[in-house]
Amino acid sequence: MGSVGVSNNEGLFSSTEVDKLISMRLADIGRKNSIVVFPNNWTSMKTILSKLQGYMKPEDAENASRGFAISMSHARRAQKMNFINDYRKNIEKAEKPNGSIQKAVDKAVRDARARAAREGKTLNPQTEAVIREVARTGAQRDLIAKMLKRDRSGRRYDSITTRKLTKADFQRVG
Amino acid sequence: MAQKEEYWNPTLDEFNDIVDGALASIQDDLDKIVEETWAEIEAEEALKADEV
Repeated sequence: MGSVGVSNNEGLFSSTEVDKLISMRLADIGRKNSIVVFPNNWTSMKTILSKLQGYMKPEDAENASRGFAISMSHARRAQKMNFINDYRKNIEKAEKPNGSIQKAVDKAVRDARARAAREGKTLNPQTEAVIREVARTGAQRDLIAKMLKRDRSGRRYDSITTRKLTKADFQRVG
Repeated sequence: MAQKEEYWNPTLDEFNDIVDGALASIQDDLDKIVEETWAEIEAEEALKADEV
């Protein structure tokens, strides 16, 4: 499986399962094959960071990016597959045209343009692009958080957690 | 002569306000999606259990 730099060294996912991950945009599974990074992959993360760092301090940009990781190191295979399959069902609904994610992205851009207009200025197109991506990432994060919370018994997604990206993660980006 | 366009970039607080506001507006929608999917999953599992 030679595409998009997905590491499958530990063999936890078959190539079909990795394809599933890619198609649902859970990309760049980390070296331990149990970390999934949002947004999408490190290249997107790097693009977002560099745009944010154009007008923010680096540490502020890291926080503002809403970048996060899903840690599955301690989950059993069945729970990983539950999570992957369930996430796909959820994200397909959220990403429908005029769906929740589109609504969040549109509102963010609308509000940013309104603020710019109040100052007699135009929203920087690069800033608009990063606002779109960060709103999308934030919505994905919130959706996943709700999925994990819904599994009150811990039956479907036990040991699957989310976390903020760390300095070490961002060093990989750089 | 055309006036040069001046671009606006948000501060960190403004950026976070914008994104957080947008995300707050879809929380109910996301809750509904997760509940609906959960119900579908439970229905599928119940069907599988019946088949066994």
